[in-house]
Amino acid sequence: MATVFIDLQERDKAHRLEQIKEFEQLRDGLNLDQVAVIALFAGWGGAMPPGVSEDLKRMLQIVADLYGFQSSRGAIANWNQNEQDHPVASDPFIVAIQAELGLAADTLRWSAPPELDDNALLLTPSQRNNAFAARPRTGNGKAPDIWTRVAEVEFGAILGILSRERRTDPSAGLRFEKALASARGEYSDSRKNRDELYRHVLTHLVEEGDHQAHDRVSTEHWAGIVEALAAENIKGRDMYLQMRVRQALKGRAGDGGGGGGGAPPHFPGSSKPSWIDINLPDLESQVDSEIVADNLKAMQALYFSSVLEEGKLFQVMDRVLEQFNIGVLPLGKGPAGDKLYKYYKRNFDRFTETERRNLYARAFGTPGGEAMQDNPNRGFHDLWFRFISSVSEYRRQLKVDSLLSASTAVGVSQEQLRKSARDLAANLSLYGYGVAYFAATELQAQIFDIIDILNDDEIKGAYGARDIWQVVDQVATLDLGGARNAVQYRTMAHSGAVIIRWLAENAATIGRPGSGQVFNPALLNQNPQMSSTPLVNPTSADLVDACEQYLAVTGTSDMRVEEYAQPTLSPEGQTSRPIQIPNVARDLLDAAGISGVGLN
Amino acid sequence: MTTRHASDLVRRQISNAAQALKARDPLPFVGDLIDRSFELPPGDEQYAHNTLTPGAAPFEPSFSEREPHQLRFTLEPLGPGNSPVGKRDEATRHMRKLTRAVFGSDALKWFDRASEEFRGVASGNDLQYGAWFGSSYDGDGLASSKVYYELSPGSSRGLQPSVAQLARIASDSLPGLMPAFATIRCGRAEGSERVTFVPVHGLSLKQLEPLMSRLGMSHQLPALMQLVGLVLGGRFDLPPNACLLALAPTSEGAEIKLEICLGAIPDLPANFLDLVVMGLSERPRHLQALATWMRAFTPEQAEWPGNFSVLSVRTTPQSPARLSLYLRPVELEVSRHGVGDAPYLVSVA
Repeated sequence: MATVFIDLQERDKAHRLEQIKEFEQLRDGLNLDQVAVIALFAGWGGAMPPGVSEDLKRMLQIVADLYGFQSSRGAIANWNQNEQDHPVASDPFIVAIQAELGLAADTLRWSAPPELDDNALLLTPSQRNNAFAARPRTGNGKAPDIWTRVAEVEFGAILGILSRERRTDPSAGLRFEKALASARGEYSDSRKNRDELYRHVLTHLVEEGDHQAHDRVSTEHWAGIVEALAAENIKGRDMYLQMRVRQALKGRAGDGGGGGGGAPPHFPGSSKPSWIDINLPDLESQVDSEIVADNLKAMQALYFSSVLEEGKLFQVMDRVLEQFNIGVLPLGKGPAGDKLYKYYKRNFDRFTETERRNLYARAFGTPGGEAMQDNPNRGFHDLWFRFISSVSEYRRQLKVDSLLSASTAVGVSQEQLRKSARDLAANLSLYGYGVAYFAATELQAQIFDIIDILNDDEIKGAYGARDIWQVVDQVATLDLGGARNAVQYRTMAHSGAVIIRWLAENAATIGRPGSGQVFNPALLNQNPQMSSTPLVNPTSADLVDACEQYLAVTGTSDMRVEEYAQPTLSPEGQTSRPIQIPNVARDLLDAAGISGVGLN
Repeated sequence: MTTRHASDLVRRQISNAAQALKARDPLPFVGDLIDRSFELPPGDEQYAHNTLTPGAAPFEPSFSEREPHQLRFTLEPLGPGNSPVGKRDEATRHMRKLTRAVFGSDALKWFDRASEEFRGVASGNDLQYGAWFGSSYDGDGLASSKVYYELSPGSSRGLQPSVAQLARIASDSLPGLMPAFATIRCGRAEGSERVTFVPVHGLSLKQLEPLMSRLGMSHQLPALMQLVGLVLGGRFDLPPNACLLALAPTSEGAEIKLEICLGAIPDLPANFLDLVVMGLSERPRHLQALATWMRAFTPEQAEWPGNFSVLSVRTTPQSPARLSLYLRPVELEVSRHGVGDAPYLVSVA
């Protein structure tokens, strides 16, 4: 696997592009075919023909720079290929270093060969000296392989030192020359007095490299790490060198992994803030776990259950079961009796009403259950109505814009919508940890059982009802102090479940600002796509419908919808809660040397 | 010492008042609710926008002749910016917590049944303030706690049958009554529920006669008129939005409570407090209790405790008219601008 000096590679790419651009501008001015120019140059065997215009001369020079002195017709096919193996010969910075080291353009490659470790880095001093003694002083001859490796390493080190010191402009004249000499001095000092610190650090950086197509090493980081280690008097044969290099890499701000690209190094104890570029971290990339889709799915089931609870579905079922047990319900041998008996036998494993209400209180802040409850979800209701109102308001805005044939008026609302969706989803996700998922599966099964039983023809017949909701109304009116508005509660349960499911299915989109539209306005205005299973995979149109239904059945006025749709500050919510650790466990952790950061 | 949160002021007032009135310190019962309700700094203008004490942080102590030695106060739960439903749910949660802890599980069951219709998920999207929370304390601790549930506009749904019956009688006897809120109270011995109306066209005290007659307390009307007429300087007609009328079933029969918003009375006598004292002169113990109560809420560097916002008079078939006074503590006023917006206000200075 080859090792790539990525900063040299990137510099080279940029320079090539500049030259190609210049070439194309000149070619357009001369009205010449690009292939013809290169063919012409190749035909002249690389020598500059006499009597050509300055522009053509420059074009031929560019071809020479880009293709070196071995240009041929075969090179034409590679004209637009950026990844050349040799750096271009016309970058003054590179040329200056090459000249200092006595290197020719065709002997230097920015990708070191795979045998780097064996053939170059581990050379004995005598081998290296021999290699250096044999190096050619002009660039026209083919350099011995071993020398090439060594020269490339030295070239990389000096390139890195100069980059580290921000001395990359040869036009600075004397200052640049001094910096170049100083860089050579530093590298030489490293070889003599620091046990080849540069070479050993490079060995470890190669190991820490990208390991994809190439091991990627930044010469600037390499030089920065060596300087930091030298400041702490670390030598090349330090037994912990690998760990120190790794630690220095980890301390580098904006590290993209390995020894590769990204921001300059930032080492603990570094004395050079000027190394550090302004390259802020992407905070949004760190919040993938703020909205956990599984938690939202659990909350979907809990919400569904909580609304049906208030609609007295569970209480009605308990009452029906009670009447079955005392023989008041006129049911004999048959499927209805079987179902009721089975439900009765499993009743002891189910959540009690108080336990269910405890869950709802924790998940949605609904008062109920045990009176002494810690940490109810106080923020849910506000966030819930803000989101529903935002969706409804957005839909209305679309309608108005559609009537007025506006094409762009609603774009600004997408981020507001995303914010309200994200606030709600993050809140639900936070309160969806713990027992919520397991309780949700249990309650879901129980609701299916209840619907199956109350929808049984025998049960319906016993209460003179035509459907399950009439059974609920009958029992609630006769035995539970009055019926609830069944249409209202089942609409709320259904639409609320669709809304939460939509949040779960779109957690990735709503979780990151600028990650695309929350939903496409065109899909809502024309031929809205409705899902056949909105409780499982709702579309945007299902969401809008659900929100409108919810607002309608709860009698929410337009004025209040507008008020709730206004953006507000996000709640001061946590994305996770500190975990209470018993003192005994804390002592054990302390004894094991694990601090309780984030735990209390 | 700097005060970072208005809750520090409220806590200090409550503790001082509890000491002065020889009541048990209420902070163990309501300290956390106060902290959540007054998180902003004292004087923050956001406090001014509330429905309990517009223009001041929503904390309202009161004196009652019925409970002259008790420390009583009402507050709007949670701070500014929270939704009415959030406030309603917070008041409910705290009420349930105190009821269960102090009055027992039977009281909690009673409260849950009584409040069920006012706190469901299907209601509340059009509320203005949601609910207020009130409590009273004596030497034995919490004497009672109550929640004032805002009723949906024009609806008295969810009232207990006995209260609903009173509401029907009131609506039949006195046109123009609009349901405003229902108060559910849990005490050591019993619970009670009251419904409060806004007479949208104002109220002449003489108009109470048919209602009081139907409730069997017409004989109490003269005393009620006498007390109200005295403290209001001979006024017997109350303009729109200047009063509330509340009804509750009690062991003594129906109770009528007339609440007069002092800031909405155009010609309130300058010597209002003197007239109140005159009204209480026949009951010197109550007068002395009022003086003690006022001292209890007067800050060290001030001469007066604040401004009176509401005067209420209540009577039953067996009890003559007795008054209550509601106070806006001077330390919790937000600004003169905010005070000017408050409809229920009179200075005692």
